[in-house]
Amino acid sequence: MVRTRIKVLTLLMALAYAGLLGRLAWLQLLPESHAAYARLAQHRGRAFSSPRRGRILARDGTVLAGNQPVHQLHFVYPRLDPLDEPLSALVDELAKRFEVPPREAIERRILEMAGFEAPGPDTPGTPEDDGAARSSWALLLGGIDRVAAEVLRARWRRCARVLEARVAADGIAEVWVDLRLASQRGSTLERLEALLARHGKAPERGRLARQVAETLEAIGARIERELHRDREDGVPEDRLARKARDLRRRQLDQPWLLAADVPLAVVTKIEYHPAQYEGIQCEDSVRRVYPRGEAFGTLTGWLRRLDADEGELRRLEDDGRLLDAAAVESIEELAERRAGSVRRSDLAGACGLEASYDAALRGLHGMSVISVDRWGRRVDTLEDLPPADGEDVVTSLDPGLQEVVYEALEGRVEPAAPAGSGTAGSAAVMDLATGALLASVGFPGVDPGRMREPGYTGELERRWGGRTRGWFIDRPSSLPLYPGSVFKIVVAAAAMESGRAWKEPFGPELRFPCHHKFELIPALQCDSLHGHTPSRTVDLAEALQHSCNVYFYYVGWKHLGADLLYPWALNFGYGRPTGIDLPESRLGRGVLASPDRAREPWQACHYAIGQGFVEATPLQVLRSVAAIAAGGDRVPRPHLARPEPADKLVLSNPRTVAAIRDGLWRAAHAPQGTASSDALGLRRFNAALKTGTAEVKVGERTLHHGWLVGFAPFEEPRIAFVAVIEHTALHGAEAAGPVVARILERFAEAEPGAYLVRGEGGAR
Amino acid sequence: MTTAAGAGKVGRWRLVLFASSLALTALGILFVHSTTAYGDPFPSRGARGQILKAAVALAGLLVAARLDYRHLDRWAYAIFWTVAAVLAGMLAVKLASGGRNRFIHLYLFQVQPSELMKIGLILALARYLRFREDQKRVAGLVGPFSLTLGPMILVLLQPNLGLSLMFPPVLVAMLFVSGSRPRHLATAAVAGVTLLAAAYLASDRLPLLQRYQRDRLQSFVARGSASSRNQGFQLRQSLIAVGSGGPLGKGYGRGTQNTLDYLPEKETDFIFSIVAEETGFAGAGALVLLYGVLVTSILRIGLYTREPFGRLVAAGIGVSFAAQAFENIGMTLGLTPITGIALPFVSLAGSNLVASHLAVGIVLSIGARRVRVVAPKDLDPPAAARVHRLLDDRPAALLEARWPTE
Repeated sequence: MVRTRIKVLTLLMALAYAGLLGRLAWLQLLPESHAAYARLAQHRGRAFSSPRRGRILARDGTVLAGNQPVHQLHFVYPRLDPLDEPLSALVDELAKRFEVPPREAIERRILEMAGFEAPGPDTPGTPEDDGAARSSWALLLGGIDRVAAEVLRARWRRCARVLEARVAADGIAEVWVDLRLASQRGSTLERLEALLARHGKAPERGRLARQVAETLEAIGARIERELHRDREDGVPEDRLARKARDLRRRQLDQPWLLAADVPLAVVTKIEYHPAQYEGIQCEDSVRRVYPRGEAFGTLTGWLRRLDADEGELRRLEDDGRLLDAAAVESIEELAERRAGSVRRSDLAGACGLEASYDAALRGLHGMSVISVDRWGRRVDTLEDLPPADGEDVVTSLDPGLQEVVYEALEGRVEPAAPAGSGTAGSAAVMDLATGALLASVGFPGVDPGRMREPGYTGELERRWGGRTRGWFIDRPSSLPLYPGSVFKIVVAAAAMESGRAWKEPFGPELRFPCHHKFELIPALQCDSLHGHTPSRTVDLAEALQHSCNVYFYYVGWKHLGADLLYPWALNFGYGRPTGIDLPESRLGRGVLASPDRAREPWQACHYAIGQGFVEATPLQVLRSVAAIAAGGDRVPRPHLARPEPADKLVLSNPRTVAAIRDGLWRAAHAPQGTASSDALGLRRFNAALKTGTAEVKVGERTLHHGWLVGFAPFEEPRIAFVAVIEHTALHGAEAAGPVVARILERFAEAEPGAYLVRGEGGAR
Repeated sequence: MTTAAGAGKVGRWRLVLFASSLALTALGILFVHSTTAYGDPFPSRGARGQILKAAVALAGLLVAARLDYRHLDRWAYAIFWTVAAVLAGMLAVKLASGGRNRFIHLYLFQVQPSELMKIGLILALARYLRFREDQKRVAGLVGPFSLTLGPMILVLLQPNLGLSLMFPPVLVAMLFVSGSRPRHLATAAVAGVTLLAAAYLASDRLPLLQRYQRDRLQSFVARGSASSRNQGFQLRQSLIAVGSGGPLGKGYGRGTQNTLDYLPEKETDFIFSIVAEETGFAGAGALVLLYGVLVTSILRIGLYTREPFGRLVAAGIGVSFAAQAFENIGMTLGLTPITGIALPFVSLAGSNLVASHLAVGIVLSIGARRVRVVAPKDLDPPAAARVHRLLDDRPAALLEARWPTE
C-alpha cells in the first residue's frame, strides 16, 4: 500500500508539472500571445525631434532672422551632488531605529571633515588639480546594527558610492563616507563659476548653486502637485512616499539647464576634464537670432511660446493639430498628421513674417520609436522619421536701404532731432515692376531678439510709451493716419475720369479762383494768403503743385461729391487691405467713410483734402501713388516675399496719368512747388513728389502728419516711395523731405543718370 | 556477498538524482551570471558568489551522502529542536530590536535558518511517523499537525510567508505515504485553505502578515487593480519576459526584461522568467522537466527503500522540492500568488542552495543504505531467489550473506 501511495504522489506531481508546461506553452507558443508580449517587451517609447526653423533672408541673402547654435550646460543632480540621495536614505532608515541627528547636522559634519580638501577662497578649485583619482574614506557613524546596514546597502545600490556600510571585526556595522565625493557638489559649481569668469561670463558668486536649488524646488513643487491629486484619490500615505521617491529619482536623473549660452572654450574645457566637472553636461541647442535688429524688427516679427496660451492649445487640440496631446501612436500616423501640426513646447511666430510664414518656416516634426530601459533611458531606435527643416523665406528687402531709411527716420524724430519734429515715423520703397517692397520701415523699432528678455518691453514702454502709441506694431502696414493732401492724387484722378459738369465740364485746364478764402464756405481756407498765381486762379497742375485746398474743395464738392470720391478711393486701394504678406490686421484696412456719412458740402470738401473722412496706412498711400507711377493700369500690391498679382485699374481718360504726373513734377521742381524749396534739396532728383500735411489735434495743440510721397525716375518710373513723420509741427516736405532725400540719394549713387535731373534747376 | 537485482535500479536513480541536481546548479550559475552581469565577463560578482556557495553546498551534499542516514533517525528530534530554538531566538532578537530578521550573519555569508527548518521538520515527522499506525485515526493526526504548526509559525514570523506555506504540503504528503486516510487529509487541506482565506480577509486586523505579504496576496487576488500596482508590475513584467521568450528565446544574456532591468528580483525569486525569456519554451520546458526528473528520482528512491524512516524522509524531501519549484514557477507564470520563495538550486539564494544540496545528499544516502538480511553463508542461488520473492516487491537491498562464524 505504501508503494502505491508513493506512486500516486508521483502521479500527482507529474500532473502539476504538466500544468506548468501547459501554461508555459500557452504563453510562449501561442503565436498571438508571443507576439503581444514580444511587442510589450520592446518597451516602446517615442522621442520627438524638432526641425530647424527656416531663416528669413533679405534679397541679397543677408540673414534677417536666423538660428544660432548655443552651448548650454546641464546638470545631472545625482552625479553633481552624490551625497544627497544616500544621505536621505541613511537618515530615513536610521530614524526608524535610533535617535538620529538632523540631516543638516550630518551634512555639516561631513563637510567639516572634508574641509581639508575644500578649495580655499584664493584658489577656487584650481582646475589643473585633477583629484578624481583619489578617494578618501572616513568613518561617519558607528554602531549600526547589521540589519540596518543590509537595508541601507540595498537602498544605496543605485546611488553613487559615496556612503558605504561596512561591517567591522566585532560584528557591528559602520557607515563610511567618501569625503572627496561628498564635498564634490560645492567645489564643482565653484570651479565652474571660476571657469566661466575666466571666459568673460561672470555670473555673480553662488548663482549656479542658486539655479540648482531653484530647479530642485520646482521639481519638488511639481511632484507635490502630482501627489496632491493622488492624495485626493485616496491613495495611502506610505504608497505616496514611495511614489514621491520614485518620481524624484526619475526627474533628477535627467539633465536640467544650468547655464545657457556659454562660450565654446568653456565647453571644450569641461569636455576635456570630465572628472573635474562631474555631473555637468554640455549640450548644443539653437537660438533664434535677428542679427539686423531694430530696423527690421516689426517686419520679421518674433517668436512666442505656444504653451503660454492655453486657449489656443485647446483649439489646436480640438482640431487634432496638437501632436503631444493626442499621443501619436506610430510613425505612419505622424507622417500623416505632422503637416500643420505643432507640439506644446514649440515656438511660433508672434507677428510679422515669423507669423505670416510660420507654416513654411516651421518645418515638420520628426519622431523616433525607441526602446527604453526601466529608468527611461533610450537603448535602441526601432523606427525613425527624421524631421523636415523649415524653408527659408527670401524677402525683397534691401537691407542697406532699410537701414539708411531707419537712420533717416530716427533723425526726424524727437529727441534725436530738434523740437517740433515728430514722435514717430515710417517710410517704404516699392519696386514698381513687381510691387516688392525694397524697404518698409517704422520708427521706433523693436529688437525682436530681445523681445523675450525680461524687462525689455518695460524699457521700450518707458522710452516710447508716453510719446506714441503702438511702438510694437508695424507702422507702414498697420498704422492708419489722415493722408491730408496726398489724397489729392486720388481726387484728381477721380475728377479726370468721372468728374461731373458744374457750370462747365471738368478738365485739367479748368481754373478755379483761389485767394485764401473759399468763396462758397468762408470757414474753409487755403494756405496762401494772396493766391498761388498772379491770376489768382489755378488749374489742375498748379493745384497739385501748390497743393491748393480751395481748388480741391470745388472739385470735391461740385464735380465729384462723396459718392464719386468713395469708389475712386477704393479703386486706388484706400479703405481695403493692401494684401501684403504680413499677418492681416484690422488696422491695415485704414478708414474710408461711406458716401452716406459725408453728405454735407463741408464734409465733401474735407473728404477731398484727405482730412477727417479718410485714414490710410503709409502702404495704402504708397499704392495710390504707385498706381499713377505704374501708368494707371494697375494698383501694385506691396509684398515682402510672395508676389501677388496687382489689382486692375481702368482709367478711360488718356490724359489722367499725364496730368497728375505733371502736377507732381511741378510740386517737386516748379519754383513754388510744395517740395521744391532749395533748403530741401530735392530738386536735383529726377522724381515726382506730392506733399501732405494732415492736421491732427493733440490736446490743445494742432500738429501735423507730414507726408511726402512720389516716384522716380520721372520718365520711366521704377520706384515709388512714401515717408511720413507723425505729430510734427513741421509741414510735410520739411518733416519727411530729408527721409525721401536719403532714399533718392541711395538710388542716385547707383544710377545717377536715371535718378538725377540733367541740367541746372530741374527745368523741363 | 551477492548483489540483488534491484540494486542496479536504485543505483541508476541515484545517478539521475545527482546528475539532475548538478545540472540545475550549473544552470543556476549560468543564469545568475546572466542576470547580474550588466556586460561584465563571466563570472560576474553575483555568479562568483553563487559558485562559491555551490562549492560549499556540493561539499555538504557529498558529506551527507557518505554519512549513514540512520544517524539522522537517532538525531532527528535534536536537529528539529535546535533549529527551532535558533529561529525562536532570532524572533526574540527581532522583537527586541524591532526589524525584519531573516538572516543570521556569519563571517562569509548569511544563513537563513528557515531553509534548515524545512529539513529538520521532515526528519522529525519521519521519526514520529515511521512505526506508527494511529495516524489512520483523526486523533493520531494531532501529533504531526502540532509538530508542523510550531515551526510554521516561527518561519511565518521571520517573516517568510513563502517558505512557511511549503510546510503543509510536506506534512500532508508524508501522512499520506505513512498511511493516513485520504478522507482526513482532504478535509484538513480544505480546512487549511479556508483558514488561509479567512486570515487573508481579516489580515487588516491581524498582526500576522506583514503589509508587503498582504499586498502580494492581494495582487494575486485582484490583479491589475490600483491597490496592487507594485506587485502587479512585477507579475506583468514576469509575464512579458516569459511570453516574449517565444519558442526558442532571445538568446543567453539578450533578454530585454533582464538587461533593461524591468523585472525586479530577477536574479532571485524571478530567475525562471529570465530563463524563459532567454531560452524560450525549449529551455524553460526543459527546466520544468528537469525538476520533474529530480522529484521523480527522489520519489523512486523512496519507493525502493524498504526502511520506513528513509522512505518517509525521501517522500518528504521529494514533495518539498516539487512544491517549492511548483510555487516558484507558478508565480512567475501567474498561476500562484507571489511569495518570496527561491527556485531550488537556481536562484541566487545561498541558504536555499545549501539546504537543497544537503537534502539531495540525504536522499542519496538513503538510496545507498539497504536492508540487511541475515542468511546462511552457503545459501544456494535458488534459495536466494526465494528470499527475493519473500521480500514481496522488487528488492531495494543489497543482500549481505554473512553467517556468524561462532
